[in-house]
Amino acid sequence: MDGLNEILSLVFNATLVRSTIRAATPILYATLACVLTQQANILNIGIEGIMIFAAFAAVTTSYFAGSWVLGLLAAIITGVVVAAFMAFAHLKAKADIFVVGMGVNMLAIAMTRFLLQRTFGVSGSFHHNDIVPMPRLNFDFGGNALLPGEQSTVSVDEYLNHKNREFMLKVPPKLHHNRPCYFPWRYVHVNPDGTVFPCGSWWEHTVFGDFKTQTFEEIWLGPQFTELRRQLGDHTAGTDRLPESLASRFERLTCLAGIVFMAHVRLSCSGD
Amino acid sequence: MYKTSWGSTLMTIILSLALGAGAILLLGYDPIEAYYQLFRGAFVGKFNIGGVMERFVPLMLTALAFAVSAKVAVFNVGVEGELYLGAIAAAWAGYAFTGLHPLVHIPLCFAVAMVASGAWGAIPGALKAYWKVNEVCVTILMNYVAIYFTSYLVGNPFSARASIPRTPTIEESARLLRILRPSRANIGIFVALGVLVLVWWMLYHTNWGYKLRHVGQNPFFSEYVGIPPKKVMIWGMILSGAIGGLAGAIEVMGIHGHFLDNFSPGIAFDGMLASLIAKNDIRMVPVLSLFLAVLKTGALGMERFTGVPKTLIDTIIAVFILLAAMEGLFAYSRRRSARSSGEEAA
Repeated sequence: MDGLNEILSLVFNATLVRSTIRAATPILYATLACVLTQQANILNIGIEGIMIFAAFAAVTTSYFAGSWVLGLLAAIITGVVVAAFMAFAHLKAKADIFVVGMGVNMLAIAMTRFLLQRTFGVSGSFHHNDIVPMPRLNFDFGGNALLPGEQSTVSVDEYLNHKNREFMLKVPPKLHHNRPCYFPWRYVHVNPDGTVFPCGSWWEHTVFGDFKTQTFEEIWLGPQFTELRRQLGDHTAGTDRLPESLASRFERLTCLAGIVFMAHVRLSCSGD
Repeated sequence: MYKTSWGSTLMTIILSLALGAGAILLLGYDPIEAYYQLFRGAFVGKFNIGGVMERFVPLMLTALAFAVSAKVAVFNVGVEGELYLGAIAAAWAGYAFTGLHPLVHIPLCFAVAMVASGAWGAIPGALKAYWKVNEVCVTILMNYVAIYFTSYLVGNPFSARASIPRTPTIEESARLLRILRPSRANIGIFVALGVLVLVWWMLYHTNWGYKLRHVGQNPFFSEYVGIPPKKVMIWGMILSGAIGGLAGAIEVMGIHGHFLDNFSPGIAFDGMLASLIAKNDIRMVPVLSLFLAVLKTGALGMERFTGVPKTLIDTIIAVFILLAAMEGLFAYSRRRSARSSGEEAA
């Protein structure tokens, strides 16, 4: 029961409130936009596209002009222009509003990708220190600390962002998708309590060994590792495509799991 | 409702081609060469024609499924979910039953897929008919349920225990015959065209189809003249779901040979797009589906042979779709010029 409370207090704390506010903000704006057009009985599914266009405009302006206010203005103007185009297409040119919305969404994804390549020479995402962000609002109710009551200079968000960026920089795109996993031949993942997983993203919770009772050799050549290697090795011939969507699907889950896990590390380290 | 004329359709196509050409020219590529490769990539050679066909079949069937549900005034965004359920049902029937003759096995797979997805389609239909629940919301959410449910099935009870989440390969007797060999086109295209004609005939030349369209146009009047609008609406949705499931079954039995987790990159949404641009007119559905399939297939050739970046091609496709939808574009300017000349005369 104490264990459960501990876990619950780790999940439901100030960080959760903070993340909720941050995650709710864009949804709130999108909802407001939909509600407005819905008053005129227009089902605007192009909001997604408008947001993508506006986000691109904001980043570009902020990068070149060095001001977040200008970036915000550019985003608003872009949004209005796209919406005006949609209004023209629907009201004057008699296009179905659903088609216009889907078309704008497709256009936004394709065109911003294209412009990103042409303007900045990168694909996927663009990070730069010259992008002036909006100032952060920081209510100090302990949300910055990793655990309530402990002092930490790095927030969970910053830590995860940093890790993510590091990963994106290090791994050449696509390389890790198109081949079978080689981890069981090269790495072990040791948890703070001495148990062993084959890698850090192992979500099945099958323990592959325990350093408290076993030697490295016993674990490394043990039945679990052997079986995993056999399974991966057997199917390398048919593995021309690993499910890329898996990563995005589990993104949220792993994020949460990561937070709990890191908190767990901190706890067990401070306990010793 | 606007009357579309061939002239304005032609103008739309020319305008969108010109806009695309301008963008290609600005980037320093040769637009004529690019368009030549686009059409070559769609029509020249068995592989390319087959590529168009294999994209055309699911697009047309999902478009048809959407158009049928639109006939009973249901805006069915849930075709994607029906596609997934039909696909996994067909895959299950394909590998679970062994030793059947192809003439028995293939219809059995189709039947299982259509029953599964038809029942799935009946749910939003019943919710809308009896409890007036908004079908757009329900079907969008049910898509997630269906896709994640198939994901679960393919990961656990139906898994082939391979490193890719997929079902075991279906029996040879359940496979659809391939035509145009190097490509993955198959006889599913004849099934699809047959279904198209059958559905059109049912909607416009039978009593039952008349009831369906009647309910879609005015459910209150249907009730008054003795057609039960709620039941008919559910039957329309079952038909729509069955067609969506058939599309999934053909994908599995003709192209992949097994159910692959997340196999559809939003096929049904493209189909919905085709149907909406065609104003849910069943005779125009295959034309628009073919248009989208040609664009998608040809884009590959265009990218491969000219070096025009894929993102630009996606942009041009989106512009094509927007302009194809804006059918009043030229009618509008014509009417305005007509009005202004009328004012001058007055």
